[in-house]
Order: sequence, then C-alpha cells, then structure tokens
Amino acid sequence: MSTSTAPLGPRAAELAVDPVAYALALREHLADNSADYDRWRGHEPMTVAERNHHHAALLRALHDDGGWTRYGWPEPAGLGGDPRHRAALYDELSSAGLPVPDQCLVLETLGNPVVHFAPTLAAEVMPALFTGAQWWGQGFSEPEAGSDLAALRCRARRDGDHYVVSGQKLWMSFGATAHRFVCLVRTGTPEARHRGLTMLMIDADAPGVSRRPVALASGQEEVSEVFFDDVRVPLSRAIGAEDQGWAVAMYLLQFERSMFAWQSAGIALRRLRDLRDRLASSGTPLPDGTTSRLGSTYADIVTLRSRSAATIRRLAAGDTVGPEASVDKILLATVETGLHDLARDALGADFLLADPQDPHALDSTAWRAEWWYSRSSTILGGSAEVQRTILADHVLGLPQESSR
Amino acid sequence: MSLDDATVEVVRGSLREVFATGRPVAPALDELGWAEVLEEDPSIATTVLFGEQGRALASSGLLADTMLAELPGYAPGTHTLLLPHPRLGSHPGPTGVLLASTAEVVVVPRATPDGVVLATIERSSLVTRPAGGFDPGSGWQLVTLGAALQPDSVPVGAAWERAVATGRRALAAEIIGVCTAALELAVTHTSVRHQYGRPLGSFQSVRHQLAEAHAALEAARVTLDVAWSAAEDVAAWAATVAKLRAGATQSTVLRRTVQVLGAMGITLESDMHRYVSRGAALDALLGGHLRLADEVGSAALAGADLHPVVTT
Ligand SMILES: Cc1cc2nc3c(=O)[nH]c(=O)nc-3n(C[C@H](O)[C@H](O)[C@H](O)COP(=O)(O)OP(=O)(O)OC[C@H]3O[C@@H](n4cnc5c(N)ncnc54)[C@H](O)[C@@H]3O)c2cc1C
Repeated sequence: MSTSTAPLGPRAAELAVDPVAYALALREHLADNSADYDRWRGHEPMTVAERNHHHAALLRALHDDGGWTRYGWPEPAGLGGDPRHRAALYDELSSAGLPVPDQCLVLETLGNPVVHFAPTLAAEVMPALFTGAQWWGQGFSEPEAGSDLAALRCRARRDGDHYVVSGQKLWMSFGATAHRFVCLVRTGTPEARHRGLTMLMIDADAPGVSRRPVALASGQEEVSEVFFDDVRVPLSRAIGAEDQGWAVAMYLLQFERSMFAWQSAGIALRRLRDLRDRLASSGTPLPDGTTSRLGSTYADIVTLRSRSAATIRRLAAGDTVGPEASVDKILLATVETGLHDLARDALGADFLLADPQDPHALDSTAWRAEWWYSRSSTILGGSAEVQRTILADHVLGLPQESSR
Repeated sequence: MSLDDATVEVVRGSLREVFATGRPVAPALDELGWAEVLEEDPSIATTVLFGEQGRALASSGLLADTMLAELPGYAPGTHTLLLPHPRLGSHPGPTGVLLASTAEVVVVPRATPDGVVLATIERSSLVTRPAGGFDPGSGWQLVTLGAALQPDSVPVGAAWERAVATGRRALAAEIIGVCTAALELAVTHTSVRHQYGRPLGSFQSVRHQLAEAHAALEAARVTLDVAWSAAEDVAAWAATVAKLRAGATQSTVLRRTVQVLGAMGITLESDMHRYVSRGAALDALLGGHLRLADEVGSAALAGADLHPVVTT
C-alpha cells in the first residue's frame, strides 16, 4: 500500500460532499497502488467461504488506506455522502478489474434499513462492516415462504427485555460465514400476514443458532439454511418498531432492486470485456450469431447502467423509489441471463468440458459457476414473474388478477 | 439551459395538436417559435417533437431537416437529405430514401474511401417511386440516382457522424412515441374487453406481456436520455446504442401489443397494425437493431473500448 500513514487523506471532508471527486480520487488510488491489488484479480479456485474471507481482505485494504469503504454512509460509522459514493466504489472496482466484495451485495440491502430505522444500532455494528471484520446475512425466505414472503413462520415472542426466536430460514446468501443475520420474523399471528412481522438483528454466535450450507448446482455453497432454537435477542436489536417489519422490508427493496443492479452491471461489463478479449484472441471461428449477441449484450449493459444510475440519483436526492424499481430488476435479469448464455454458447466445448483441476482453465471453470449463479437473477429478491405482476398492478394499473 | 416540466407539457400539448390536425409540420413549427425551443434545450425538444410524431403516426421531412442542421451550408426548407437505403445499412450509397418534403434540392451523401462526401441534385431530376410496402403511410419515396449524381462532391468529415448520431437519437424518440401509443391502446383494450367473464387484463399472461412491454419502453427511454447527455467522445457510440435499444424495443413491445388484441390487432380496423409497420420502418432507417448489434459486436471484437457510457 502507499506510504501514507494517515487512514484518511487530507481531502476526506471534500470527498464526502463530492461523489465525482471521490470517484476520481479512488480511481487514482487504485491505479497508483495497482500491484498491491493484484491478488484480487484473476481467478483462483476457492470455496465460497474462502472467497468471502478473500473479499473481506479487499475491504480491509480499501478501508485502511483511505477509508474508501466508509464514504456514502452516514456518520459516525461512515464518513457521510450519499448512495452515489457507494455506486462509485463498486464501479471503480469493476473498472480496475477487481471484484465487488461479496459483503457489499448484502450491505447494500441491509445497511440502508439499519441506518434509517435503527441509527444507534448502526453506529455500533456498522464500523466492522467497513473494515471487512464482519458481514451480515439476510434472513427472509423460508421453506414455506418464497415468493409469498408474508407467509413466513419463524417466530419471535417477547420474554422481558428479549425476543425468543424459533424457526428456520432458507437460502441465506453467505449465511455460513456471516457474523450477524437481519431476519424478518413473525411477532403477530400467521393470519395477520404482513402486518405481524418484525425485523431483528440476530448474532450468528448466539446460543441456539445452527446453520447448514446449501450448494448450488455449481457445487459452490452460496447459500445456507439457518435454524433458530429459542435464541434470545435483546429488544434493542429490533430494526423499526414491532410488527412494522414489512415497512422495513419495503424500504430495503428500493436499494436491493437498484444498487444491486448497479453493482451487477459493473461486474457484467468487466466480465464482458474478459469474454471479448478471450474470444477475440481465440483464433478459432466463433459460433453463429456470437458477434451480434456480443453487441446486444453490451447494449443491454449500457441500458441497465443508464436505468440504475438514474434510480441511484433519485435515491441520492432523497426520493422514494416505488414499484417502478421492478423495471431495474427486469433489466438486470436480462443482462445476467444474456451475458452468461452468451459465454456458455460462445465458449462452447471449453465451457462444457474444461477440467476444473487444470490451472489454465480457471476462466472456464469460473464462467460455469457464474452461469449457475446467473440463473438466480430471475428468482432471488422477487422472481421475474413477481416483478411483472408488480408493474401490471402498480404501474400499468391493469385489472387485478382475480385468483390472488 | 433546460426547459422546466411545465413548459415541456405545454410544448407537448401544442405539438400533439399540430400532429392531430394533420397539417404540414414545418410551418406549424415556425408558428410555435420552435427554433427558440430547440435552442433552449435540444435534447428535450427533439425527443418531444419526434415522440409526438411517432405517437401520431405522422410522416414528415423533420428527420432530414434535423440531420441537415448538423451539416453546414444546407437550409432545411429548400434542401432535404437523401437517407441511405436500409439495404445498405448506415453507409450512404447511390440509392436512398426521401422523406415527405417539398424541398427542391436534395443533398446526397456518398461513402468514399476518404469518408462521406455530399453532393446536391435537383429533385426534379430524380427518378422516384412511392415506397409503399409494409408501411404504406410512411410517405417515403425510393430514389434511384443512376448517372444523375453531380460530381462536385464535398467531404464533410466528422459532421456526417454527428448528423447520423442526431438522426439516430431522433428516430429512437419517434420509435418510443409509436410504442407508447401502442401500449396505451393495448392497456385500454385489455382493461375493457372481457372473456371468461373477466377483463383480459386480469389474466396473468396478458398482464406479464404488457409489463414486459413497459420495461422495454422504459429501457429505451433511459438509454436515449443517456445518449443525449453522453460526453462528446462517446456521443456517436451512445446514439448507436440508443437506436439499437429503441429498435429492439419496438420488436418486443409490438409483438406483445398485437398479441393481446387478438384478431382485432391484425385488421385494418384497429390502429395497431399502423404502429407495427411504422415501428418496423423507423427501425430500418440509419441501421436496424440487428444490424447495429452486429456492428457494435464487430467493433468490440476488433478491440473497441466497451465504454461504460454512464456513471451516477
Ligand atoms: C442464489 C440465491 C441467493 C439467495 N439469497 C437469499 C438471501 O440472502 N436471503 C433470503 O431471504 N433469500 C434469498 N434467496 C431466496 C429468494 O429470495 C427466493 O428464492 C425467492 O424469493 C423465490 O422463492 P422460491 O425460491 O421459494 O420460489 P417460489 O416462490 O416457489 O417460486 C417458484 C416459481 O413459481 C413462480 N411463482 C410464484 N408465485 C407466483 C405468482 N403469484 N405468480 C406467478 N408465478 C409465481 C416464481 O416466479 C418461480 O418461477 C436467494 C435465492 C437464490 C437463488
């Protein structure tokens, strides 16, 4: 890292109010110290847990030499600024050929409601996120509650100054390594549906918590099942008021649908460049249609960037982003499925047959795992069908579906 | 400078009226003081103007006029521009398309190894025939130049690239106007018509098709906005992407809006068929979406910068 011993540069106050200056300063930092960041470039075979820790180290490096991970989050944990700072961080990392740390995907979803609904708690728990010392998992889905989230059953009952939580969560990203979970739990009756839910922060090492990783088809254990057996959680760990969890979840969705799309667009552009470089230098004829699919995929990425940049600017201006964020999510899924189908078809035999043990085939192995992960873009955080229904109901104002 | 929202709505309303009456557009624009509006905010003015033209399914020479404004020395009104024939892609060639226009002098672009050159020719000396075809309402004339081309061609350099970029942004706006009107028609129709005792718009498949159309339309809008505000060095590239996006959008949107109208959607009785054929015609001008995807992909494989185009 650079020779500076101060964790923050002399321009911190200026950068905090100027996202463009922040982006340029970060770009310069990444360029000046490029070799120090090389260990996060390229592909090394890793389990998800290893990758989580590897990415945590990247957060640490970014934090310790300039406090770059703290911009865009409110003080005292953060340095101030707005969502455009965070968008710039993810974008500059992608442009520099670096990964967006896994932790940031979850941070963008969960950090915002914690800051907004539980500022005291945020001041306590967020600094460890910016250094990469800790990260969180999102506990919403359950075996019986997927698209129909309001059907969830994981219960929290009051006992003095604690909640006692019992039940199960499923599909939690990075749940096997996360230090804390932000969970939507039932404090009211099941019949109360979305009116009887509360958002709670639960420590992963609390007595009564157990977890089991679940492997995607790639073999990568991206998600986990988490079980709660009479886990005691202080009342102060509620995010928002009791029984108001649905409003917290709705608040969080505007960030999940837009910032996640922005992160993904940056990553997708980096991977499209990788793919282009590989195809351009392969020396073998490309399958029919590859050239125009490359062109359309690039255009899809530009469109996604255009849309999510506009949404992020709205969030930065303090606007509430409503059901129209489903458009961002649909465009994201178009990019993810299009890019990875293109990689699969264009790489052809390499995609199918490259030996996972072959150190020269790491890129193909990575594309394979990423292809499986890309299928989640039409499922997670509200499936493709759910997004279309939201637009039909709330944006187009079509007649209600009678069978719901 | 930029126009505020209220002014934009007033301008939009006036334009809608002009197009609804079907009277010649150019003099009506002069009456509206269009030159000032355009100077104030070229991006919004152009987007609203062409959006309304698309919505009204009107045909005019506005596209040629807008492109000519980028090519110094030619006056819209007395001059019009021969657009490259779609068969030849975005490269100007010896034959082309003349839009509805009363101009007497035609500016003819031609690709040469040293770049695009322009020549002028009297309209009366051209062999033309009405385009007809898939979109009989286009008002286009197909032009065969033959030996009539004047030799006094002048090179235009980068101005041609700017004119094409302007034309592509205008066409994207017009396609968006066409699709917006088609989607409105489809939403109204499926909200009103009942089958199985329910409005069509309460069937999930219908709802989802229209939601996809909406998403595609929003995608085209925002990509066009970005093309207008792109930095100069990527302006042409961003305009290409915006035109590609709009062209792909008309294909997505109109396929769905036709389907949800049932048989009515493919008759002469409903306006839907006019949106479909106009969308296809506008897509074909200055590079259809498939051709542009091929061009962008080829450029990428040849090492072009896959530029991020937009930041927050
Ligand atoms: C990689 C990955 C990571 C994830 N990470 C997390 C996480 O960190 N935290 C978390 O809480 N969850 C997470 N999830 C879970 C995700 O949010 C759920 O998978 C999602 O909500 C869908 O639920 P489901 O899988 O049960 O599908 P289901 O709800 O069973 O849906 C199955 C299919 O039926 C369709 N369907 C359902 N209802 C309707 C309807 N009304 N109309 C039309 N079609 C319908 C769906 O669109 C889908 O195609 C993750 C999922 C994946 C794949």
